[in-house]
Amino acid sequence: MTQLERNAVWQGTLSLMVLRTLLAMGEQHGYGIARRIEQIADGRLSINYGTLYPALLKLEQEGLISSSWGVSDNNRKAKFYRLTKAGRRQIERETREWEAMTAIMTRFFSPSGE
Amino acid sequence: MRVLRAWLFRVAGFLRPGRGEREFSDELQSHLDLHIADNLRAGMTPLEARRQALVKLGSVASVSEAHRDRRGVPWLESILQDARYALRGIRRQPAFAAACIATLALGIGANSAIFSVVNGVLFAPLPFPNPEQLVSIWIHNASIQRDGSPMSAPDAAELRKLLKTADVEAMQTNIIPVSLVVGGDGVPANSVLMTAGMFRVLGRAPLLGRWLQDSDGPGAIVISHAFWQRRLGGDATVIGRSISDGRRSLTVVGVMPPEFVFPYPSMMRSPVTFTASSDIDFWTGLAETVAIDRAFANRNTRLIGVVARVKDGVSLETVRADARVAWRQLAQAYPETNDGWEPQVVPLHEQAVGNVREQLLLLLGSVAIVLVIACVNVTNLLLARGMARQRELAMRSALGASRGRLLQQQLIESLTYSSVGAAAGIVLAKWATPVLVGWAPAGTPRLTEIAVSWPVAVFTAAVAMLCGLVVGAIPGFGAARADVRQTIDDGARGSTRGRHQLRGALVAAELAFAVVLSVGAALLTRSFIAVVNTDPGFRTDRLLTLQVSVPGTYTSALDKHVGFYRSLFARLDAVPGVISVGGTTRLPLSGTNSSTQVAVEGRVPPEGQWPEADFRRAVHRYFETMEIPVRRGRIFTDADRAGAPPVAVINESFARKFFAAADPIGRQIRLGPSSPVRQATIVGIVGDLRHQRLDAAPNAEVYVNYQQAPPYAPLVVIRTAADPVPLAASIRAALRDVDPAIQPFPIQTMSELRSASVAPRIFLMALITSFSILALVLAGVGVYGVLSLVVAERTREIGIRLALGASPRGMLSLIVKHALLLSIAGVGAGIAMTLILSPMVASQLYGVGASDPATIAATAAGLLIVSLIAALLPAARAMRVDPITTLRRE
Repeated sequence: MTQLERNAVWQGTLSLMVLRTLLAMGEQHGYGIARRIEQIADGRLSINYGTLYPALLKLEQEGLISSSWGVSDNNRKAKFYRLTKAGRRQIERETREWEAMTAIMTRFFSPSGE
Repeated sequence: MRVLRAWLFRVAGFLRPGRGEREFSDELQSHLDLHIADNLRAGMTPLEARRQALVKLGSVASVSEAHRDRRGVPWLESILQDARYALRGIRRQPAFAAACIATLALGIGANSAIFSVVNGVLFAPLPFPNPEQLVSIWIHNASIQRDGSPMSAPDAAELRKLLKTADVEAMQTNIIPVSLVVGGDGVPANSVLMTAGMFRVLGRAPLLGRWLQDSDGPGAIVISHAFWQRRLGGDATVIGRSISDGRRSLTVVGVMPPEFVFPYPSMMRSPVTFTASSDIDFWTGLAETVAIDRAFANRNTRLIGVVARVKDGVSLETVRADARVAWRQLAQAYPETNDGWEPQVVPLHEQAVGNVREQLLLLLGSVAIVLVIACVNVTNLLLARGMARQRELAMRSALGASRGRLLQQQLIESLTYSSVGAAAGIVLAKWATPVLVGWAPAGTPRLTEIAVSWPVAVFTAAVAMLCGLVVGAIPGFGAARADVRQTIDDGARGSTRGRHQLRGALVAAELAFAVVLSVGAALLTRSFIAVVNTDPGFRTDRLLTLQVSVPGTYTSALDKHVGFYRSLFARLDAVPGVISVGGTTRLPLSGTNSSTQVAVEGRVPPEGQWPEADFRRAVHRYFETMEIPVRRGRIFTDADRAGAPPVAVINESFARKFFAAADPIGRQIRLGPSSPVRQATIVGIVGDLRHQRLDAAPNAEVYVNYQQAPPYAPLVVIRTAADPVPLAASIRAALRDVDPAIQPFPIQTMSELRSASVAPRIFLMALITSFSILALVLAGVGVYGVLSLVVAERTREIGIRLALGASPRGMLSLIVKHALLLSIAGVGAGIAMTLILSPMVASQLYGVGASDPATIAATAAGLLIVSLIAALLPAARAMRVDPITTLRRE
């Protein structure tokens, strides 16, 4: 694991990205989620797909997502994840927190210091 | 909530490993399949598609591990794994494990047993509802140095009305011995008078029947569980049963539960030492006695103890303030008796345990030292074994075990030992605690409440945890720090200097603690010897004592009463083997006392400010029988009878206290209202005697003659020509001859009373001495163990030296020097510690200072000898080292 992947902030960020991806795409398997995150980051983020799975497990244990085995578009067996009600609420809350936090950080980093 | 839910899943995953594992590998497989399919669609070759998918996935092993850790509870898994490893270790090296576990079991068990005593007596709440609300109220007077005094009955009655913040009840502060007739036999019993409401204030429900009530007529009694079982055979129909006390009939209205012990010995006025029988057999109403006995009406007769329950939500400070205000009113209303006195409000718990707190805490401290030494020994054992396992540890470290993991493994191992040790320790405590209670001196408060209870189990578990962590910490950190390359390079040679020094320091510490305990034990033993050798002021051997209560038929008139005594002594004097017979009302070393106010004619202070002196009646030939020496003047004669001028004999302390250098003979004294003789002429001075305890300074005593004030239940003393015990039967027969209604209380020899009076000392001394012996043995084993290792590790060096021509004697002195160095360091530190700690034991000492140089020096020398003896075996082994075999082994 790289330094970034062990980082708690990164873990939280990854969780939020997973949740938002599921919100946007509905039901999706781990590979699909990973691809989607990479697409949205538009090449600016390169992750090992494997790191996604412990994060998915954690979200599932916390009851934010649920999973079941199903069949993919091209007829392959895969484990699909979807948001639970608690997961939707969590997105709202975390999005709010994230926005508040980035607003503060932006002010800190703005050159005039205002 | 979310976190909790996640943990539940993880614990479930931990309990069912395997399932998640399979599912995850399926999921990874499907991930790869999906990715490879995409890559193929993008035009890659199958090989490239697969390679790219794998690269993008990252390390399967590390992802799987992260996923596995997330599924279960990894630290719990590793702890269980370590515990399994430790248990396997016990099977693999049973002797080593047994040594560790047995040492810890001994240390922990001894601590649990002592803690269960200390907890039952000191820490546990009193067995009453809301016990923190209960207080005793006493009065003190700084100008005459009276502290914790009972108050007069009228003052108690008024305090009850004045005190708004607490419910006040009263009891008499003497045990009243009576003899009851049960099934035709005389049965001695101790009773206490208290107000009927006392039961309500204490709040402990009776086992059978009911409490006393204000409406009870005279003669209603509530009996103790022990008396009911022992004397009445646990009779289920006991309520309503009548029992005669020789004069009147008493009716049992209730039986209290076994844990109901009240009043506590420390609440009884006759300063009850451990020797006084403090078991109360029955309780009866106080009101009637106060009403008929005129002495109680006097505000200078202070015999009443007050116990109160503080009202809900009222603080102790408020009650104290309230009591001060109330007492100020009493002092203003009755200045001649109450001026100068102040109320003292003492929580009942403090009151109950006050007199044994110090001894018990001392015991707890001593047994804790034993545990420390035990822990040091086990630490040393683990360190020694760690040496042997260094290569294994280095190997594991090289294979990737983290330092934390190695430390954890050592801690889990030592915790496993300490847990097994604690389990064995609890069994040991279960067995030892009743033994301790059996040995405890009579009169120790709350003995019935001592048990290996839940708090003891919690304490034991906590101690076991602590021991496990402490014992494992040093070897554990050592293991974690171990330098892999060096250890493997060095091979069997190992450079172990640092470890040596550490183990040496531990053994020195052990010796230091052993010095502290041994000095404590030696000081207590010397005090005991000093106490036993104290001259009590009378001859204690061949002296029989018994209490005789005068049958009611004689006490109605003075001449009949005196006549009874005349025939009693005529008969007893005639028993063969009897040299002399006398009696008194308070026997020395029996644990009871009584005092009265005294003023010397010509300089009488205002009433209420009279100083006190101990008051006794001398019966028949008391001074001759006890062999109390006459210093000046004369003792009583038959001529000092009723109608003759009242006379008194005083002791030397009395003469010093009241007359200083002046001659007391012929002077008149006045005695307080509690004395049957109110004024008398001093005719003689007798020697001081140790009345309360052998180790307490004599008090001022005044004696009056029994013919001028006949007692109702004198203690008779009989000097015999030979062993007094066989005479008991003929004494009983003689008493029956005088009147069959006479019931002698258990006949005891003065030697028995004397040993009973030192029982608390013996208890403390015996326990601390056995702890110190345990400490010595453990410290000796520690020294032996470390030196054995030194010899084992230096075998090669010794072999080379011998081969080069060194003498075996030189090798012996090499090891002995090592031992001496260790012991001198340890003993030196021990002496320093002793000097710091010994003031704690000062209050328990008699005739020897807390930092007595001779005791400390002798103990230190003893410790040095013990450690040298422990060093001899390994040293002898060093002498016998065979250079050829040793060198060949390399």
